[in-house]
Amino acid sequence: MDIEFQIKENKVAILIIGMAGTGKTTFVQQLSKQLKNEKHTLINLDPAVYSLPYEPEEDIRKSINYKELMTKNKLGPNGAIMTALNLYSLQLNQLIEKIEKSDSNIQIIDTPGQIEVFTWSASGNLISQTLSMSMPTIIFYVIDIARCQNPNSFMSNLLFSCSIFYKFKLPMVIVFNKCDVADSKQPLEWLRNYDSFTEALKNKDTYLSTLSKQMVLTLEEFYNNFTVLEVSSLTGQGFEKINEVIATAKQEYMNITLVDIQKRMNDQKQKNYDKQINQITQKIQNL
Amino acid sequence: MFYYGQLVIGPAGSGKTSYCNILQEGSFKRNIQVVNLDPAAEYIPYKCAIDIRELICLSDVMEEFEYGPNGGLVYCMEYLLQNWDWMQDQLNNIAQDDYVLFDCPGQIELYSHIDMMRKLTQLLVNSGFSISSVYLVDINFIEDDAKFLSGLLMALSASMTLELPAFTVLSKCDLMKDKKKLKRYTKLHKFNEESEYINQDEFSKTYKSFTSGISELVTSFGIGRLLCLDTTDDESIDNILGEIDYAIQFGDNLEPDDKLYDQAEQQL
Repeated sequence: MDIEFQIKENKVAILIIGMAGTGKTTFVQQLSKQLKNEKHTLINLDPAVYSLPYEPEEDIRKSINYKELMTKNKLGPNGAIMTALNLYSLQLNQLIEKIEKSDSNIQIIDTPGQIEVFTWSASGNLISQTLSMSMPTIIFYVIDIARCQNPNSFMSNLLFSCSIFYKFKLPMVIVFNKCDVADSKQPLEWLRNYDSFTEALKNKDTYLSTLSKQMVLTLEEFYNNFTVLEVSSLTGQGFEKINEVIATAKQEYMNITLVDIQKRMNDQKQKNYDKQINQITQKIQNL
Repeated sequence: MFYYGQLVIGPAGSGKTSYCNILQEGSFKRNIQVVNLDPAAEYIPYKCAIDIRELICLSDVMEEFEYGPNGGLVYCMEYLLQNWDWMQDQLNNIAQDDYVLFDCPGQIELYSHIDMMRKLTQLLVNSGFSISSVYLVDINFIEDDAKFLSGLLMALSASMTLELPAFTVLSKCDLMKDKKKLKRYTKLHKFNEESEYINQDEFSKTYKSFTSGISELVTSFGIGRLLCLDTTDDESIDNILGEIDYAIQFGDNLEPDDKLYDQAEQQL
């Protein structure tokens, strides 16, 4: 069994992941506006969304009726989203084919609001894996900066983003959204300058601040490893470098993720080859 | 007034409800009451002492205000906090010696995004509860090192906002056939030493220093110590309860069982 393996290097898929209410959908809309010079496709994977401010070319809601799924199979809201994604991943190859045939270079994929459903389900994993094996895939993790005013919740958000990073093993860009809201400077300052973060934690002497203080030291490492983007999806500020950011993330994919995938593929091939050789020698011996 | 209990949290499908059910059904030297705090729960196998759905139900909110599932959940929890008197009244019906489990909704947004759960735990602590948070994670996240770290970080990010003694419990351990692997992940200190050498792919190489920083953080904070939950094995549950009892000082003020003492006295 030989697996066809060809990466479409000129294309890129962007997975937009973030917690509910961080403004993923608005971000997608703004991103599409900013990238109007490039050919791009918008893909919606959220079956439960009521209305979208943009027109997706590919929509999960076209093929799956979320409400019907819920009433027919007596599923809860989370279960229904998961089932919808599972059903959708069955026809994933059609989506990939469509993308490969089309001439659009950038695929922007909006994911369901319930973050666990996408990150901890088999189908979410399948979708990201399949995408990453057919074209460069990067993750945009969206964080709502207005919810990061407390140092502890800021830390919690960052920890969660690390969790996503280790789960998908794809290049990740952290997007701090809603920068137009007042007081967005503070958290960003924490991220860049960890002395200020220690200062902020000084007055808080709870058991968790101890953790945060430890985390501060890792923070520097964090800042070195991830691209951070500060944007406001509403006003469009901070999008100037978006092309650059996508290009660097893509490069990262080529240097790291692709090498791993190729290695895995070669291992698999080698295994298959060995198996065949074994079978043949066995047959010869039997003769 | 002292109450003892656990706040059972974790992502959807990690087995929170089953965990509560098993604790209630088994005999673990305590009287266990379960409080359901998930307004979206459809079917509950255990006997509820208090049910949030009697106060507010997610499907009603979704219909009435035309909210999506997430917005509806946030509204429900907000409503609960506003009507805490109701909860307090219900809690007063619970006897002092009872051990209370809170079956919480799993959405991570409620923890790290909006500090609703923190407010809730603060209210519980104020009304005399000595509780610990128990984060349940599925067995399938110990598939490989990266996934394992990812799960621990998720647990850490949720439990750190609650400001309670925190435990991470690995549920559905009976599904794991490879005991060696299980042992490797549950003994975290060893994992920390080995982790850098196991995966020699490009990903681990590039992020080596970052990974070691993160894993050191997780380990040193102790949240990485996993407790195994095997529903077919009572010993594993006893083990978990023992660890938690120690943290929340359950049983410190219990009277010793003086039947033996009485017998001895009669014999004299």
